[in-house]
Amino acid sequence: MSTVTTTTRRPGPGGPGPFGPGGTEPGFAAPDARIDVRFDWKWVVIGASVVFTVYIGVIPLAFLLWQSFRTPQTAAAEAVFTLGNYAAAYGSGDTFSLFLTSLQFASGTAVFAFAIGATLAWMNERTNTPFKTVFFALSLIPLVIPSILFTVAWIFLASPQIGIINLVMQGWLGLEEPLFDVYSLPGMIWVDGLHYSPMAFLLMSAAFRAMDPSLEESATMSGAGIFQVLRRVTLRLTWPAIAATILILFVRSIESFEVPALLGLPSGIVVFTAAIYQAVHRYPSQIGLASAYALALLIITTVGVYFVSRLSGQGSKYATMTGKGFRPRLIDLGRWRWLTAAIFIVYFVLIVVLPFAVLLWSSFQRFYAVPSMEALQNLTLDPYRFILAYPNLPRTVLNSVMLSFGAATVVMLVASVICWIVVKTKYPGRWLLDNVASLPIVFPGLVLGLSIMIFYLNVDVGIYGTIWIMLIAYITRFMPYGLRYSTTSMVQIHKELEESAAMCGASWTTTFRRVILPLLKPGLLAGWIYVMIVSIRELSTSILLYSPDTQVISIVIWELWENGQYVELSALGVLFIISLFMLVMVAQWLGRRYGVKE
Amino acid sequence: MLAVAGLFTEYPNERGEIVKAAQDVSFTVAEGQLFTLLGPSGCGKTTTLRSIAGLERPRAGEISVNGRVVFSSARRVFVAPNRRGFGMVFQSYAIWPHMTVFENAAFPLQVRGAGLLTGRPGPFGPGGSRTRPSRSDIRDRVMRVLHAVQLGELAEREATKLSGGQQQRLALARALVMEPALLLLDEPLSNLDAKLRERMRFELKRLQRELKITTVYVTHDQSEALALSRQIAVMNEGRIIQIGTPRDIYERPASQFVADFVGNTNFIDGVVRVVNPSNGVCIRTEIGDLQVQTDQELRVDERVAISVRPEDVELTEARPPGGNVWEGRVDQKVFLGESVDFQVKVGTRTLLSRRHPTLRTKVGDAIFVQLNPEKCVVLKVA
Repeated sequence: MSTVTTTTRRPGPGGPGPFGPGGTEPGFAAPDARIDVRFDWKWVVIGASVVFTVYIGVIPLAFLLWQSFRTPQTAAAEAVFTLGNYAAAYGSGDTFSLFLTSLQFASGTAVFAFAIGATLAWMNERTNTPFKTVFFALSLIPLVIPSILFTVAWIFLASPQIGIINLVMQGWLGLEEPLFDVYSLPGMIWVDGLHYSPMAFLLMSAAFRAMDPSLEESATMSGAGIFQVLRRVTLRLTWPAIAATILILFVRSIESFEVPALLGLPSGIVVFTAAIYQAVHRYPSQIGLASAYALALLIITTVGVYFVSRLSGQGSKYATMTGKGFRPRLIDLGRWRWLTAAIFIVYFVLIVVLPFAVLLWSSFQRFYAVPSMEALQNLTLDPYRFILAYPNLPRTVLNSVMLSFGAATVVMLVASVICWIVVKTKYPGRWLLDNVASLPIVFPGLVLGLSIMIFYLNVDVGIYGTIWIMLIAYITRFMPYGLRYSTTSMVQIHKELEESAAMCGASWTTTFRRVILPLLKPGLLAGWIYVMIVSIRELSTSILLYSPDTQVISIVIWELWENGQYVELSALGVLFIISLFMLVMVAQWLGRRYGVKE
Repeated sequence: MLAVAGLFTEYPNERGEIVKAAQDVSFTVAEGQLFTLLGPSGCGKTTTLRSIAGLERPRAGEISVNGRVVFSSARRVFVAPNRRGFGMVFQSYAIWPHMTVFENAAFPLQVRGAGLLTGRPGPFGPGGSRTRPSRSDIRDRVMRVLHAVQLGELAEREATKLSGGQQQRLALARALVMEPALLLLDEPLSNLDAKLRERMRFELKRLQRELKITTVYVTHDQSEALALSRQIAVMNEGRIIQIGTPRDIYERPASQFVADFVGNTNFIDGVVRVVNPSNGVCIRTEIGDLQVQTDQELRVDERVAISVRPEDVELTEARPPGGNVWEGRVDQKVFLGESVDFQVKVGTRTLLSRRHPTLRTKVGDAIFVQLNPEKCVVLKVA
């Protein structure tokens, strides 16, 4: 009560933002509006958000369960109740190895990605590594490279037959055998881990930044060295963030589809997502079997989410965001800082330069060829001509853009209301709402697409095969991530900022619009950019929901891979990456303009 | 003006246990007065204030302002905080970082909806209006209130660029701009440094007097409470222990808790020996027999504690005339600038005395202690 807690937010760039006040706007209600009219609006907004969240959160799960007890529907036979899917899925010894492979792959990827991301984040936030502002900007670039392109690029780089790295190394070292084999479990972990490491980097950077540096400084003053501070204070205090980060990485990798499909299936290393894909693509489709596999995935991820929510509950006592002295003293690495700079460079080469370069190379070839003087003679623009003349290209691009903008906007607006309820109110059952809204996080994209597809086939509301079904799928899929972004910002808003608006006579809707949303703006914009990028790269959900009219870019890339049109794929990939990169630049510029910090 | 009756506010904490934050809290505040809720942290004073504001929903009781009931458990009345029309300054100031100084102060006028009936006429506007003022009207009133708190020059500045003292004044301006019926202040000075705190204390008192605005003030700082208030309620463990003027509270504390919490004091335990209505009471204490003047009904052999303020413990180097004199020895002394604190050992007891720095008795030297019977407050020991 009398403890002195100040939560002053750092001053951000001002100016009226998209939600912010541009001077004196008219208030929400007419001057003579009656009490009940204004009162209603709060419940309309909250009610609509809750109903929507429950609808998108529960429907897929319900359908997944229902489907797992049904036989396949064919022209000859109606679907009936069965336990056969479970018997098929869990009756054989193969399932155990499937389970084991999935766990190995996901935990390996999560730990590898986390180790890279956390190290880089620490170096970037807490040490005097040279040029690190440049590195921070560069480290965001890999986020725009879609998983399927990253995987294809690493096949070009490290496959035993055509991998450039292997061929070069064999030439240099005179080896008989290829050095790397990307078609192996370590290869899969390497590719997927690298691909998710920027995410770990971002999450851990935020965690390091949110920590009150005086806590570290007091440890230093107590005589602790760099590594003691790191081990005994920094890591302990960021523990909730670490657990959350590893969990998210684990979930993302256990449900990742591109790497298991492109690298795992050819070499017989099957994880759950690949098994589901195979089951769906048999004839007749073994949708029930796929659902039964998916339930195992659900259980794994649900257990993980449960433990982390427990951990995060404990973590709230580490609420360390204070406004004071927000300039952490940087650790002086001395000569070692050149080593950390070198690590950044190697990382950047592995994750951006090499993959992009190999795609670029292949996009100028008539047929895929390993770089050589001879191949250099055969450079051509044919793949680009092919792509630009690709049927329906403008439509495809438009679909991708509209879907990602729509999904990002809806997700962030609904998420802001939901996380307000969860963080700021004491309504009974709000934890349930949080869990329901976060439920889609446990769904692999493939399974989500599947259950949404079946639902709208069975419950015909006229959106099957349209772009709306894909919009709903994207919103469902990315709502949990939007919620995380807005929750992080929401807990930093001191409740007195809201209470003072109420004391000034502002109604709930006015307070929400004029105080909460503007203060959430940095988190909302960051989340919006994130959801937009992941939506535009989305493949595993779209692959079951698209129709010829609603093709998106990632689907076209997938089809080119299936057809073996590697050079054309490379050309489209290069164009896609460049446009995504420019999109992110614009978004970042907008973000800086409207108050996203860093 | 403000009447709080039988207020009980309870809420579950993180572990689900019920915190009895306010227990049977009742008091009234007259028009234009400043009333302080004083107590240690966790005593329920902020909860009481937040219950008046409407930010907490009490379990039982009644709160009314100018006869308008804003909360009543019996009549099931709960007016939402945004319809109460009270101004409030929060401990963190709660200045919105995304708005300028002007926008912060103008907010209450911009969002003022229907149903705000409690506004009163004042120097910044007519008050009591049901409709939102016009744009130019808002501008006038905001600038007037910003000038009143000396922020007129900074109106277009970003709120986050203000110093602590300026933020505090802005929070005050924002609370005052809507001519509130009641001003609620939640430890408004606790985040300021000592010097600024002292200045703001005078500033606050001046504004409150000038505007004649009824104010409820919450603090854990007894000197703030004594300096500002017309009346003080001392709270502990959710209950009001004593209500009175600052002088009452300081000079006639009703319990050991109040005597100890408000200012420094020496407690001397004793037993009543003689009760003589004309001549006072004689109490046998650990340092010897002590004559005190009291209006309290005391029985012989009753256990009591005597509270004597350090400034009432007289010290002289030569034995003074009169009673209640003991010889002691200076054990320690602390120079504080305007005064010197002496720790004087009398027998096994150490008494704290605050003297003028002209008294220069050295540590270890003998000194005489005299206690004025009228300054000794007899407190019953439960």
